[in-house]
Amino acid sequence: MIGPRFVDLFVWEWRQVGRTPLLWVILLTLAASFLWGAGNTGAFHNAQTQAQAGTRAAEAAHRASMERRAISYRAPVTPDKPKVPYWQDPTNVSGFSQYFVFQHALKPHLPLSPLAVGISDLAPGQFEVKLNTGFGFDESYDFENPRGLALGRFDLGFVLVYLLPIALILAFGLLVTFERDRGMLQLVAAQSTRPQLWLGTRMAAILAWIAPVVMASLLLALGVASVSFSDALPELLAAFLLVGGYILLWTGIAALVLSRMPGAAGALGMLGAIWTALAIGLPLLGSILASSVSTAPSGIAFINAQRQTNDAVQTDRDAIVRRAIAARPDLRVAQGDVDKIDHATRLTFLVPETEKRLSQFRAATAAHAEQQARIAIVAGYLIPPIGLQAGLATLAGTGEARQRQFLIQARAYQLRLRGILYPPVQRQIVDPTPDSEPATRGRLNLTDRNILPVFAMTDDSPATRTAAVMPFAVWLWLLGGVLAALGIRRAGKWPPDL
Amino acid sequence: MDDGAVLVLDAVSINFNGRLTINNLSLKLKPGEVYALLGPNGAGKTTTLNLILGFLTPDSGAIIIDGVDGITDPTGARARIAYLPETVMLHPALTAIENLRYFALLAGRKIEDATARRLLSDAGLQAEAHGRRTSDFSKGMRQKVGVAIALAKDARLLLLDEPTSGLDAGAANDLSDMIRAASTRGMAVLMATHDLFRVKNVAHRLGILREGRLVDERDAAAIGPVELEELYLEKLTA
Repeated sequence: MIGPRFVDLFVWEWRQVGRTPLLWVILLTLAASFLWGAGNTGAFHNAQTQAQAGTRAAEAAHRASMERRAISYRAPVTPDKPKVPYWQDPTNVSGFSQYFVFQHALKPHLPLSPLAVGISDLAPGQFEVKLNTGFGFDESYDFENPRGLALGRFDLGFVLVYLLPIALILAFGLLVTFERDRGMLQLVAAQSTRPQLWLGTRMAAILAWIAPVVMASLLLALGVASVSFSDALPELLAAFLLVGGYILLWTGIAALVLSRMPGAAGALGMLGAIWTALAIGLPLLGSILASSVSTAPSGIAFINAQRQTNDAVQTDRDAIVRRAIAARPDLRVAQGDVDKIDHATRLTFLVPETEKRLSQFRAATAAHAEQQARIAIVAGYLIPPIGLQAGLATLAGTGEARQRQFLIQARAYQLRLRGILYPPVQRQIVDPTPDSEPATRGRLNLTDRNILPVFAMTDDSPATRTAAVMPFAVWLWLLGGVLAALGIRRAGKWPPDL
Repeated sequence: MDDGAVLVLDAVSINFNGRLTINNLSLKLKPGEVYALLGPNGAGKTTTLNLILGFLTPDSGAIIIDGVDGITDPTGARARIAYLPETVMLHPALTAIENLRYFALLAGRKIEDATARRLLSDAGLQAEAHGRRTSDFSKGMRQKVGVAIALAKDARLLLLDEPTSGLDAGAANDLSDMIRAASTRGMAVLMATHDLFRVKNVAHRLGILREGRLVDERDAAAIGPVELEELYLEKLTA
């Protein structure tokens, strides 16, 4: 055999690369960024978890306060303590349904949430679910500082998707081109090493340092961010697979560029341009194309329709209630008493009617969101930074798909609450509970207020989450492997201009 | 075709941008023979060396190194060639010994520290410099490490590109000794140079290259220093 064996040269290169200060500057900077990113997201999610705990505590305090009032309203009416209006009476089932239901839908963070902030800093993780709010909840929340939203949160996902490739570009771009720029490559080439072997061993040696240090730093950063590894083991392994594939992808890209043995300026220029295209240019272009292919339903049009529908429903409220009662055999006897029905009871008929009239807008918005999600999946395969970002968010539980699940479940929860409360409220129209004797301050037609279940989000299993990112992980490994092989194959000859 | 020759160039030509940089060049070197390729800048000396090293592929002609076709098997041919560039650049963070071991490894030879020290001493590098990083080595010291790299390869053909350029008289003299020693061991040496004085001292044959053509070829012993200079100038201005 002519020239060195791969193993001999690799061992030599690995030792020499490990002695390079530049490599350690890059790796330490990356490790510090991992720690900062994971810590940042961990702290943010802890604050959100504490806020959710605060919400649950507020619910408990509300229930306790309500019970105290309910007990006090059992007292007989006296001149100085008259009957309480129904909207202030938790013992009145219709008053309770509209004015005392204080339930929340909460989206808890998953064990690996510090891996990626995803949309957890943009989309709300908790809603107050009122019985009669259209479609489940008000889509308003406290806006963050727009500047913060524009820049995005410095999270571990950002470091992995955007800074890790820069670190790889710098390491490969500077450590592989060193001989070229120093004028040593001719002497290297004049020995009997094939360029493919030389490039392959140098890149493999760099990779053999970077990949384990990145994985160890990732583990350390997640540990510092209080991730329980035993609770998040499947997702953690999948994250390693994704990051490993992403490293291989950028190694493949670097191999293609470096196969022509450019100098550092040429290599960094080309790799920087590829990074810019993949990380910024193509996602922007993709976003423009996606929005031109599938235009989002107008939010303004929806608000306009909502106002018009609300006005129309209010104008026709008696007729709507009458029709609804007429359609119900159990209520039909009360058709003539519509005027006597209180506002909260009327809402049990008017809100579903309003939702029915606006349902086409909601359906269009949901269809658009699903279409965009499908486009995002395809874009992820074509533009790997997008795919990795989505994959990490999926494993962290901060992705768009889990948010949609949360919204769907929150809406289902509201319908469940309606299913519990609407029947007793409406039954009062035809079969009102007799007034107590002597007259009490409260109506006392709702004796048990602990009839509402607590929202508990049903999540996919860790295996399902992990399986969701596997095709993309395999794609990254495949693409990276093919590009690396092409790059090494392309380095078949030493360049003539040594 | 090779008659036991270490290097055979047979009617080699190469074009760059429509210009015939090497024009029908033929050359044959026997074992132990030192051949000096003279010529001004741009005459094609370095291109000739790059063709022999396989970095360039000729448009026509044949290149045989120790029986190996340099065009179809450049890596196999390079295994038989030791090369000393005009300026030897080394890994500054490595010691002389480490540099030597690295380049020897690239040539497929694993050498121990003791062997590396012996080769460096043979090349004329002082023992105290063997374990020092090469970042502060002078050009002459780097050249000596380059010589040791060439010796470590134990090749059949030694290519030297302007080997004495920028060296002081002592270092240039050491290099001449090394060339003679290599020749004595049976190594064929092809040196591209401007240095007429050194050529006269070490070369057995010399050829004058002008615009890619070998315009004259002489036995070095048959020509005096003054005559050589006159011939060189005459061939360049003719």
